[in-house]
Order: sequence, then structure tokens, then C-alpha cells
Amino acid sequence: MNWIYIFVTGIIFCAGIIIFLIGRLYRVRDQLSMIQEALQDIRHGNMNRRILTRDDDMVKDICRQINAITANSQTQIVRLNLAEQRYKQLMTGLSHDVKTPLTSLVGYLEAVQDGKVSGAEKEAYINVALDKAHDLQRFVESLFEWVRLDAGERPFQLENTDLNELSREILAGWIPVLESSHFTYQIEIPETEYFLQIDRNACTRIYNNLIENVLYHSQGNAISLRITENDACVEILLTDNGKGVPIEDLPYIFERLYQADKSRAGRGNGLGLAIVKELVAGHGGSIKAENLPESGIAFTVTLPKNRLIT
Amino acid sequence: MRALLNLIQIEFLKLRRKKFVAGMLFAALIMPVIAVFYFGMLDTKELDPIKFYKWATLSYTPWILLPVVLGVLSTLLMYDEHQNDMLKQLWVVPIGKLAYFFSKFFVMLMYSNVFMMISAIGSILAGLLSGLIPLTAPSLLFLFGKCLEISLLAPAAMLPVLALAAAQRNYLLPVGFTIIYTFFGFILLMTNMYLHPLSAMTAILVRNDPVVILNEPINTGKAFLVLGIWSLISTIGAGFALRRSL
Amino acid sequence: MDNLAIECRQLTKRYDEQSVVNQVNLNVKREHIYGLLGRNGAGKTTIMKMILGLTAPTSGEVLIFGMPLQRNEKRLYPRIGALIEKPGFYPNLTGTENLEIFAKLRGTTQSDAVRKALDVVGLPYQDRKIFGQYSMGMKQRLGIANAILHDPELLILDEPTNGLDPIGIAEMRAFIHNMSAQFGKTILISSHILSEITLLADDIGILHNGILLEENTIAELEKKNRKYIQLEVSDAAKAVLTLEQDFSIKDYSVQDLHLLHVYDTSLDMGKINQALIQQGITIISAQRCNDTLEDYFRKVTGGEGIA
Repeated sequence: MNWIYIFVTGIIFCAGIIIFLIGRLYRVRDQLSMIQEALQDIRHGNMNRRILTRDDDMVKDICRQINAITANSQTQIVRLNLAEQRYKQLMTGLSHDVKTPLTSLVGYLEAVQDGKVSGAEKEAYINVALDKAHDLQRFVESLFEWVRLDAGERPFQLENTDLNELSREILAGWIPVLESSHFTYQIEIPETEYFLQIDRNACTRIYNNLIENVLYHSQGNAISLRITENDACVEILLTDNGKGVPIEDLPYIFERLYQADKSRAGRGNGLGLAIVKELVAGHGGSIKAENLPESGIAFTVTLPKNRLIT
Repeated sequence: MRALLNLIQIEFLKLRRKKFVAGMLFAALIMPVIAVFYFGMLDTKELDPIKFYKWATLSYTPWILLPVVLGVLSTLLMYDEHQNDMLKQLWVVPIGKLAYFFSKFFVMLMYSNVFMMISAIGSILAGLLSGLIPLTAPSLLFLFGKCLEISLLAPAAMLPVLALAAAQRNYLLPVGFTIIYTFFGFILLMTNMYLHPLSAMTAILVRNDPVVILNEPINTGKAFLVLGIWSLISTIGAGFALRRSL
Repeated sequence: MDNLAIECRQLTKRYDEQSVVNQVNLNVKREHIYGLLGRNGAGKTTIMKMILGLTAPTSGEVLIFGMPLQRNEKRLYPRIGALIEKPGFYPNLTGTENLEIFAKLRGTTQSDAVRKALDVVGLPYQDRKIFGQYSMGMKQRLGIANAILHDPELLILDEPTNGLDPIGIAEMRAFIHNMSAQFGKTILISSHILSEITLLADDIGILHNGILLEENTIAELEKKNRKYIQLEVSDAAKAVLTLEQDFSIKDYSVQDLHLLHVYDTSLDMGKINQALIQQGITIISAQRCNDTLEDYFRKVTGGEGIA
């Protein structure tokens, strides 16, 4: 009698194992057909497709690897699309930025040539035309500068320089302009020396573009600048009390031709901050912008200390 | 199958930090403690352990305490998801409505098992420590066998409450219903035990007990049929209610 | 690959003879942000619930990635992340525990998905705080974390900025923008605030009393939002000279040899016309574009406006 019990128990045990294995097989088969379907979708270009798995699935690792691959290509595709889109925007923006001063310039010169004006008025017309030509020239130059920076073709002449001394020199030139534009200013530069690897021209350009940006776009009337240091780097903090930048636009203000003011009013060619970003990067540093809690914007330029940039 | 196992596992995760759910288990010890005083006062000599167990664990505990506790538990299991509007988040996972209902039922099953085991062990300890009963193998076998029967049948008998909780947003109605439901289960045992799942359950439990005399001969098949029908109706009703829950 | 993520055809929902949603044809393109704009009670939530299969439509159908949801639940739900009305979670569990439950239910696309999702929304991982003690803002964040936990292709977000403070609103916007700009997700978002939609969306649907009044791209609508005078003249160079000299206008742009945009719309057009004609410039057309989007929406909704 006993061996029958053992036999039956054995059979039940085996049947249990078989049922378990069949269940497992079905689950894997289901998942394989799911993977198959997802792969087909991915092959048709849907890089957003993901495959979900649980931690105890047999096919977990395969699915996760497929997910990693698609996620990766998706980021790359999105980046390429974005670059293309921005390139298109650049071209349309560019054509308006060139056309507007050029048309006006033609207008003035034609008036002079047609003899519509004479004497002092003629002189004035020619001056206006010349100004416009200069504007255009400056725009083309900064565009060229930016393109060279963007392509990494500008050579940086880094020399060991005292940032504080250089900053004082540059800002001294700006003080009359600030005063005549009715800006109050507060400048805190330490008396000590901060020696860094600096390209003098680039540094001047960084200051000029940042201050011009405040003067012409912030709509504020106060500017403050402070230089501080810590163990690893030197920070230049420039703030104003203007209107700031809408938070959704903040990430883009260092991109070429970005203008917060969408009606394209006012002067400026939208290249200033893009150039600053490239120049700071050329020093191995970084720049960020944040809105201040009350009003205005704060630019922080971070330059690394004592490091040779190649 | 695996999906259901996963759901059941998750149901237990949801009970973390629910002190009330754990606290209700103490109700299992009420009857054993009272039994010690009851038999102690009677001052009977040579008390039959089976008689003690019947009183301490197999009477009011399955008739009243366990149904009420399970009713409250089923309300609690459903309440959070209803109250916090979570069902829509669960349906888009997606989770099957019936799988959801069964996973709750399974929690009740496990809970009633633990409850009855606590009650059984409580009775044994209470009886031994007070010196009222000796430890005998047949009585232990009887006790644990009955406890297993109770813990399997009681959740099935309480399915109507779980279904009502699935259909209701607030907890007052299912809790109130639990008390009335339990009460009627108790009353109907004496008049017509084939109407109410709880009385049918009791009938199955006392099927070959010579001491209990009911006004009708016990027909286990009929009792199981009653339980089955009520369970089916509850499940269908719950499925319907959950589908309309939004 | 079918180009639409969501396609609603003649979608209608009636409660006791009163239609809440009426024959809506809504089309959400892949990798676009679609903004569903409408006042409270316009039927936005009902449409989203019907899309998600949480409410059955009275008539009409919804296709998601070209398939009906019914009988494709297991295939489609894992590709959708949703936040409908207030997000609900288990009040006795921490944020991490709550998400772990959903991760276990759905499965995940990568290891430590819970931690990454919490990172994205800025909630701490392994925090002791239980959901019952969360502030409104934290609850909303956890809702978002749950919606992106399985890295879905399609996000359906119902009024995601509701109940958030200004900083929270700005962060939520940045998050939604990021999801689209960095990861190329398709997003359907509803709002009763016009500016919110115009800031985020690529396409917009205007819902009013259950009817989809207009469905268009934002770029197309923005054309209706420009404030300038468009002058079409025979000679732009001459015209520019007159504008600068006689009216001292500096704020303009030249579109091409004949087309000018002047951004000061308060100018006296009569005088400008006269001056231009005097200079021998022919004016082919002059058009004042002075509509704001708000004005436009007031027009399409029959004077009631949106927000």
C-alpha cells in the first residue's frame, strides 16, 4: 500500500513542476511576441517605444538593453532635429537682420544720389547711411566671430593675468556710459590679485557683451558686479534690477539669435550672449543665468583657477 | 496566474503601517481569555480539551468575531483606493477588475488564517497555563482541523461585504452592513440556515457534532451550494460595480 | 508609422440627454505637445477619460497609435502615462513605496526606475515621509513621477499646474517642455489658462461647451497675435527713408523688397499714406494687425473668452 502513496505523491509533484514550467514558458512566449511587436515598431522609426519588464522576468536583461538603445538613439535624433530647427530659425532671423539695415541704407543713399536733399541735410543723410553701414558691419563681424567660435576656430591666447586688475580697467571705460544712461552701479572687486589663464580680448568682449545686454535689454536702472573666489574657481556675478527673462526662455538665452522680446524690438542682434557663452567656454569656464526673486537677472561666470587650458 | 500572484504580493505591501489591521488580530484572543474565567468559575474537574477548545475558539469567534473583523478588513482594503480616487490609476496599468477583486479576497483568506491560528494557539496556551486542560494529540488535531475549515470558509461567506465595499466610496455603509449581516447569520441559523452564507458556513462546521441540535438536519451539499451561489453573485456584482466605479 | 498618437472620431458623451462632449474630432500628432484649452466644465477631463478608456463614449471612437483601446489594453496602456484630476496614492506609504507598487504592477524599462522618476520631479528617494503628510505640490509631483515611471511614449496630463504655487507652475512648465524637447514625448495637456497653452503647445484645440471649436498649430494662431502694421509698397528702401525721416520710426523690419512690418501700431495711417504718396511711393496694401490671442479666443467662443 505504501508504495502507491509514494508513487501518487511523486506523480502529483511532477505534475506540479510541469504545470509551473509550462506557465513560465507561456509567459516567456507572451513576452517574446511583445518584444517582436516592439522591435517592429522600432524598426519603423519609433525610437520612443519601450518594453516593460518585471524584475523576475527571464527576458528582463534583453528588454532593458533594447530600451537603453532606443532611449539613446531617441536623444540623438531629438538633438539633431533641434539643431536643424535652430539652423532654420537662424537663417530666417539672419535674413531680416541683414535686410532691414541694408534696405534703409539703400534708401538714404538713393535719396542723396537722386539729389532730393542738399547741403546740411545731405551731410546728415550720408552720416545716417554710414552709421547704418557700420551697424551692418558690426553685425556681420559678430556673426563671423560667433561662427568661428562655434566651429572652434578662434585661437585663445591665454596668459597668466590678474583678473581683478583687468576687470577694473575694462569697467573704468564703462562708467561714463553707465552714468549717461542713468544707471546706478555697485562694483565690488577685491584688492588682492586673482591670477588666471585669460585671453585679454576675449575677457573684454565678455564684459562688454554682458554690460551691453543689461543696458539695452534689461529695462532696469541698476547694475552690480562682484568678483569672488573659492578653492577651485573665480566667480563673476553680474546682476541687474530689470524685468528678467521668462523662466521657460532661460535655458535658451545663450543660444544664437535668441531674443526674449519676440517682436524683435530694440537694438541688439541676439548674438551677444551666445558669443559670451563660447568665450567663457574657451577659458574652460561656464556661465549661467538665473532670475532674481524680486526682479532682474543674475549672470554668474565661473572661471577655473590655475589650470592650463589646451 | 503570475499576474494574480503579483497583485496578491502587492496587496500585502499596501498594508504597511496599517496598525489597525494588525491590531484587529488581538480580537482572536478575547474568547480564549474569557474561557479561562468561565471554566475556572465552573470549577469542573477533568475538563475535556475538545470541549474547552469548542468554547474558546470554535463558537463565538467564528460566529461573530471573525465575520465582523473580516467585514471591517474588507472595507479597509477597498476604502483607500476608493477614497483617494486611485482606481483610475490602477485601471490604466492595466489591472483586471476580477483579478483586483480576487487579490483582495486572497488577503482576507490569509488574514482569517492568521486570525484563527492565533485564536487556536491562544486557546491552547490559555488552557495549559491555567491548568484547566491537558495537552492531547486528538484534541489538537481536532482544533487545528476546524480552524483551517473556518479560515477557508469565513472569507467566502464574507464575500457579499467585500462586494459591497467595492461598490461603495465611504466606509459607514459596509461596516454597518457587516454588523447586520453577521447578526442575521446568527439568527437565521435557528430558522432557515440555507439562506445566509454565514449560517450555511456554521452548518458545515457543526455537521457531525452530536451536541449541536438544529431544527433541520444538516445537508452539507446544500450548504456549500448556498455559499457558492452567494459567492458567485457577489463576484459578479463586484465586477459590475468596479466597472462602473468612475 | 502612423503619424497620429491619438485620433478621436466624432467622440460624443451624453449624460441624461445632455451632451458634455459633442462630436469631437481631436488629433494629437506624434512628438507634439497638444494643448486642450477650455474653461472649467468645457469637457476636457471627460475627453481625456474617454481617451484613456475610463469612461465609455456614448458614440464615436478613439484610436491610440492607430488602434482602438478595447482589446488592446495590455498593448497600449504600458505606452501611456496619465495624470487625471488629483493624483491619488496610498496615504500610509511613502512616495518611494507608492511608486514601487506601481513599478511592480506595470514593470519598468530600466533598473532603479523609481529613483530616476523621483529625481526628475525633485522628490527625495527613500524619504520617511508618508504620502498622507505630503503637501499639494508634492502630491502633484508624485503624480507626475508615476506618469513617467515607465518612460511612456504618450503623456496625458489633465490640468497639471492646478493647485501649484507660481514656482511649482514654472517648474511644471519647464518639465513638460523638457519632456518634449529632450525626449521627444507626445504630450496631451489640458488647461483653462491661455498663456500656459501658448507657452508650451505646438498644437492647440479649443473646447467650448463640449464642442471643439478649432484645432490648429500654435504657429498658425500666433499669426493672429501679432501687433504690427504691414505695409506693401513699391519701394521699401524709399519707404523706410520716409518713415525714419518724417516719423522717426526706428522699430520696423524689412521682410523683402516690398514688404515692411512697423511695430508701432498707434501710428496715424492716414498721415503715413499721404507722406509715402508724396514721395512717389505706391502703397499696394496696408494692414493693421492688432489682435491678441485673447481677442481671437473671445471671438471664437462667441464673446465669452477662455480663462
